[in-house]
Amino acid sequence: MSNVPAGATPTVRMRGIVKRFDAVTALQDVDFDLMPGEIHALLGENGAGKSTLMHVLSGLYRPNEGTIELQGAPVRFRSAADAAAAGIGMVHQHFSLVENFTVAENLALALPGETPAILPRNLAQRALDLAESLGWKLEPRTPVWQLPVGQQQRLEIVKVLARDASILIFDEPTAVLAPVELEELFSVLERLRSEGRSLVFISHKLNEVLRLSDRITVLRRGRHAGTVPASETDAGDLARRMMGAVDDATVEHVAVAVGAPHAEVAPAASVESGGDPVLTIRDLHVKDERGIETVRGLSLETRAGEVLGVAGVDGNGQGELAEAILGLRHAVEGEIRISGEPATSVGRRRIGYIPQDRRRDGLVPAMSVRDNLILELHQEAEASHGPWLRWDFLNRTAAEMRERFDVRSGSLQQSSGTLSGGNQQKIVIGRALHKQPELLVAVNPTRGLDVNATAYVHDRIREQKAKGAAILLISTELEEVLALSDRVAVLYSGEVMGVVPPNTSRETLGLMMGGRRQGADEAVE
Amino acid sequence: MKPSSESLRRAGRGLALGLGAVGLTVLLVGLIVSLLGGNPGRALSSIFAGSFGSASSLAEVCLKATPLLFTGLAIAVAFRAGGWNIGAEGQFLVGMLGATAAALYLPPMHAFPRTLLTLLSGSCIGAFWAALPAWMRLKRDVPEVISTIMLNFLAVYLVEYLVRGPMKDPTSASDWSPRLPDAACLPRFSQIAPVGRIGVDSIPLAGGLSVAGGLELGRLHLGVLVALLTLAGVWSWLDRTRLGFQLRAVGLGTPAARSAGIPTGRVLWIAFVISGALAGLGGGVEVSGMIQRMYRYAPGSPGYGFSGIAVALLGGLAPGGVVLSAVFFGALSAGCSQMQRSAGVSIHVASIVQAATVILLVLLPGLRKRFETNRPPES
Repeated sequence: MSNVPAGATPTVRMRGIVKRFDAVTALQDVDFDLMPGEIHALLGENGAGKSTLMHVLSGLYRPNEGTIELQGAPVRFRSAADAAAAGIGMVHQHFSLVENFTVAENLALALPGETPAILPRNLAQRALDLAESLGWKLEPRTPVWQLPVGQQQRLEIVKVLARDASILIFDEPTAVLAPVELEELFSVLERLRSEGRSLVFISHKLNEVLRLSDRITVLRRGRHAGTVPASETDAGDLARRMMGAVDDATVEHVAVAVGAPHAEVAPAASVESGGDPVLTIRDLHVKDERGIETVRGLSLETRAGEVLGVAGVDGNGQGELAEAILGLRHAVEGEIRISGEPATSVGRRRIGYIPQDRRRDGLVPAMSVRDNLILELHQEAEASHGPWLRWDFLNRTAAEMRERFDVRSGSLQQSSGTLSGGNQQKIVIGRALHKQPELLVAVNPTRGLDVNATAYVHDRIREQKAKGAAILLISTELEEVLALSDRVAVLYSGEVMGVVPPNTSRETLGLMMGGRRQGADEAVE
Repeated sequence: MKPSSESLRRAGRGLALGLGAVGLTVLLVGLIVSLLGGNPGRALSSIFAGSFGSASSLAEVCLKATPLLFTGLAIAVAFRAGGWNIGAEGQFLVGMLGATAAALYLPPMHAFPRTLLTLLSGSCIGAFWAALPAWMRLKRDVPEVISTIMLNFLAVYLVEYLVRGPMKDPTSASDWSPRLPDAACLPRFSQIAPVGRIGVDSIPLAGGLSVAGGLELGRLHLGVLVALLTLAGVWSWLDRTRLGFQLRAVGLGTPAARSAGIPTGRVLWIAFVISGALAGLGGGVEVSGMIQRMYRYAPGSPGYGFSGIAVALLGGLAPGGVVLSAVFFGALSAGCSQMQRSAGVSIHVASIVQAATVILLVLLPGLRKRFETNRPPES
């Protein structure tokens, strides 16, 4: 299946690429080769550096170290335009289309040199012909916002092709597509390969990668974790490379990060532990802002005194699931019960929420520490006499909360936007836990926090568990999920692939995160 | 940072803003009057004489500041909740209309309930006029900036139609409504109690200038009192009630407020209705206290609703700031009337100066924000 000529000069040769953002190293000494006429998949977890590496290649980022060669000649791109001129085109995950422009206008925009001052009727005809040669019918006069996502992606691809790109990079192209569209996209990608172009296919979906690509490069935490021909690997091997082996060093690292003795990490036989069910979800369907169903028939149960981890790659319905439980998002179908009552009738007092985007959904940065601490509390009956707030009570309670949750601010009046991320998160956590909730829903609670703040958050979660709260920990950090959870549900495309104990092998977890149901792997292998 | 230093800093910033506004105004008036070939010194001294120069000019300032206080508060309430109500002008106008209609067409009754109903009617119609764009925003995603501006035009031409047609005074050639019956009008202080001037008329200063030594209370109508009561009400509502707190949270961070369980749509809706009610009440007070009949305002309305935006922004959307900036713009307007009489400079200078001052001053916080975002967060 691989038609890579042995010994040929690579189209792209990247060596020793290092990319740092302030203190964070996103790429560490990464090598990458792209051969003529191959589809090369780039595989890895969220934050593994896949997109960063390709942004370096397409001229969006300049590497701190390392070299890039095209057809054997060293190049140094100063901008995306430089890279485009060298024949590199990238189809981004978030399209760069002008929504109010028509298809033709968008295509004209992509070809600045060819756009006359007065737009003729046959604008971008060449690009439209190109689309037709791929078997795609694009209606030139349709405004882009009227097009379904799949069509927008085609337009984006045609835009790149119209610039004569010989190296095409696709960043998670299948994330937005329905199964039928997926087949069509794959056949076009195969056709582009047969024309001798080189394609990079960024994905975290194992089955797609195995089906489509000639070779696969795996990145893990910004490092190169192997390049293998697709014909010589399988899903298990890839999952192991993506996740890394569970060795003593990893356990040590996690233990340090969470400040726990080893014995507490990953209690083995606790799948049926815990008390009465607190959160029960049956066949839940939820749509996102765009109206796309991102939670599709999900069922879960979390018991008192138990942490149920929800693992999965970003964008598999995590945010919508949390918001539906909190009653912030309408469930299209299905049922959510909390201690037997419908979730919609359960007051906020009984559910603590740590939202994923701290600065947007967690805090009002322009308001003071005090005001943020009482953002939920002020709605309670004891916080007011009729319409009047009891400021003495609120001030006193805010001071207690600041003390108890160790929020390090100059005063209660300090604006919360000026605090460090860890202290901001302490406010959010304080708000969620002060009321001693029955259920705590935490979404990526340690994202962007340093080791100490992470340990603080993990301690609070364990403390709540000890107090008998049910905890739903939705996180894309697999280490975090495994370290804290009693059971792990793996989420993929808005569905639960299975609920497993936290000592399940990384390989199995990786397969499930890539879309295989629990139990299905045994059948396949 | 201690709490006291935080509030001191805020007060200091307010003071600097106020001084900046006064300084800019002096500079702009001087510049414009010079450009027009007038005598800037004389113009400025007549502005001062017409605003703070005597007890009676001070009363004039209060009368001019009263409608600005209403519209300024109206806009501050909406803007605080993140609702861009550009329609205080229209809400003020329909408020005038509602008050006039109630005063003219309700059956005769005792003066107190009659005046009260007159004001209430203005307030309710104003609230209704603001509820429309709020409803359209929440249910149909119509940007409220556009709908409130459009409703201004609707209000202007509704007034025009009514005072030329159904509500026209049959005994007059002018396009206006009949005069409001006395029982529906807000009386002057002098009509309800034997009060005249508090203090002395003026204290002479150097250079032929003098400053007010008191206030000509007798000239003021009760609407000034209504305005001050409204101010106190709005102030404590914003600072002391649950809804006031939620208003601020929604305005400064809707997603976080929503995540914390605050019903953001309902809060925005209430903010709009109260904003419209305040502007409408302002219209009612103006018609029943000052002008006592409905005029054809289009197209040269006094623009209290638009000036209210300036008042609210200069006042930092806080009630205390709004009252100060209402007085400031009231003084500018009263002073410029005097300037027209004694220095022969058009009163429109006041509008130019008002707009220019606000534009220059709102630039400043924007610049400061820019500067601050470049600063790393404290850790």
